[in-house]
Amino acid sequence: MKILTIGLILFMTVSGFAAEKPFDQATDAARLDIMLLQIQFRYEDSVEQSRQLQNYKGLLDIPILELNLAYQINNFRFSLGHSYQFEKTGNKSLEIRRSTDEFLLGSGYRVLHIESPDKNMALDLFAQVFAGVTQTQVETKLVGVSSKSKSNPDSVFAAGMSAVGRYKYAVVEGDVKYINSANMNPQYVPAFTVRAGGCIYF
Amino acid sequence: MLGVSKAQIIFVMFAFLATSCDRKSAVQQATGDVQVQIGVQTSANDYSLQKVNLTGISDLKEVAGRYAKFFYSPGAQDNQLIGSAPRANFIRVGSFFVPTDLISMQMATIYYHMQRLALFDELVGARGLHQWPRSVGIETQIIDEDGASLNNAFYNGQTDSMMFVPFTNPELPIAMNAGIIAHEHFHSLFYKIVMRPAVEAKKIRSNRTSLHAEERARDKAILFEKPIKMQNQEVTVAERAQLFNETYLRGMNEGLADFWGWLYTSDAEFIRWSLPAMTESRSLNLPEDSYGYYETNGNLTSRVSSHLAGSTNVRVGLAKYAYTIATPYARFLKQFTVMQADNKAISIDEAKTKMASIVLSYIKSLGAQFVSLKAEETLHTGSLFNFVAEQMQKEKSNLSLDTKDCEFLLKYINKEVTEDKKINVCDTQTETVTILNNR
Repeated sequence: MKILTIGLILFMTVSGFAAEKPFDQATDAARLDIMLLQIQFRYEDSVEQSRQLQNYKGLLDIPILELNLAYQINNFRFSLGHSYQFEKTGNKSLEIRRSTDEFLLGSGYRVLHIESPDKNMALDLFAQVFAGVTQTQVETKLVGVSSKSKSNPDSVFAAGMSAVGRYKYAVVEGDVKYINSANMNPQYVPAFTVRAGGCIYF
Repeated sequence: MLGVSKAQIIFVMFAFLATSCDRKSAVQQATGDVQVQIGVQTSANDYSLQKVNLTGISDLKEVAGRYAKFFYSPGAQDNQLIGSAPRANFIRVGSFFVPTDLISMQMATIYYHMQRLALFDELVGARGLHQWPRSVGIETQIIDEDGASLNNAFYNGQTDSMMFVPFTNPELPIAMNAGIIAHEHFHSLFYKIVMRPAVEAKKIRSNRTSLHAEERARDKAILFEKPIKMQNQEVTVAERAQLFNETYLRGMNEGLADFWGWLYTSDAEFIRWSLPAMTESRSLNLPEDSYGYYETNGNLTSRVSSHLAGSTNVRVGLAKYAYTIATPYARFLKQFTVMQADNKAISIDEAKTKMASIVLSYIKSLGAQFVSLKAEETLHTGSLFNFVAEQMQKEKSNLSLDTKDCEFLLKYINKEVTEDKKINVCDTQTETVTILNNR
């Protein structure tokens, strides 16, 4: 079934290229977005036994520092994103620290493009699908003795929309996506992300 | 404008999600025997993370199965706990699961202990007393006019459930403490054998048990009962006897439950892991100079009188005193069990099983005796020692009474008799030692 899905995506991509309009430098120039600032919320089960909007952490546990790269060419956008979540429960005698790393590779197609007359400012809307991997590490500290365990890696899939705004070399992206992974709680998790950074034109 | 239609894009996105969702999670797939890593007591001085098997699991997400069913912050209706089950979170690491938060760790740990205590019940002859799976409330909110109850555990006879309230101390959470779980489990045995028949026969009013008395008067079950008359002269003999018996049974229940905690963990100070302030008062180690000490009928009678004379709420005051009654019984039983293993050719596990069976027989006899008691009569606080002596004298195996046992028992049996009446002696003339009563 997965192979069928990937085949469908490839087919759509090729059919998209086939009907492409003539090249426009301002609209279709290749660019690399490097976005290291990110705020992400996911509506999922929390350790407080309720489903709530959880603010995801960042690289090195710094709240808004995160790794996000996106390569955009013509109507296509390919991305690599990292998400990190950390939660701690327990007390001095029994502490459980759970951290989850997730890498998502995204593939998007532009469905809307708006730009200012001077072409310095632009807004793109993309439909995107993602596939990736997630892994959770649990560190349990019981009466002073610590033990670390890493989960078996698990696949993650997602689909959603993202809006990318640019002003010269600055870029801001906001995306909404539904993420699915067998071991997530729940298995479908809506995620809302805003990220910002700079872009390099080729 | 675009080469691909929006409909095509939406189709691809839905296809993508639809194909990604047909898998069950590792936790959903885990049923039957499931290996988990939890914190267990591996010796009297150590808790460590161990991989254990949870058996009979029907739903690991709720850690539900043959032995336990959990409720998160439950209520009660029609003598049953109501509310939703807590959701447990685990990661799979190879062939086993690791809890990823405190609630999940507590659930897996309690389940494991309930599973082992079920086997222990069978071993000592308590099979069939309980309905399985046992109901367990975690993060139970007990709130009254003095605030929320914290750092405690209860057995509730009405709902036949074990309850853990939120734990806020820096020590090992009570729901992780093997000794405390065994302690609470014993309360359920005592309730079914002694307290429920006594309540049904209207012999006592209060039947609530908790791990420890809290400083504030928050014991609702006691607090809101009809206040007993405050002046000594107005209290009838029957009311006085009822107070005596309630307090004694509460103390005996707590003492035997502490002994059960030791039987299960081999830790004479199992309470220290979670409530270190109580280590000294609840330690089951018995110094030699305390051999023979317990709260006699005389002590208990005078304590009831002083509370009747001075307390604003007699039952609350006596409930706290119950823990003073409790510990000497637990210490006696633990010491006697260790003596069996030390002085006879048996293992400590054999000695524990034997003593657990004797305790179970004792509470059956206590329950029967109490229900047939007349309103003005009181129980005898030394009855446990006499019962143990009788049982050991009947023993024909290598566990039969020896001189050391006999001398130890006599310190208790003779405690409440005047010097001129201490006439019980250990008869060592015959092959087996017997306690002779020359009267």
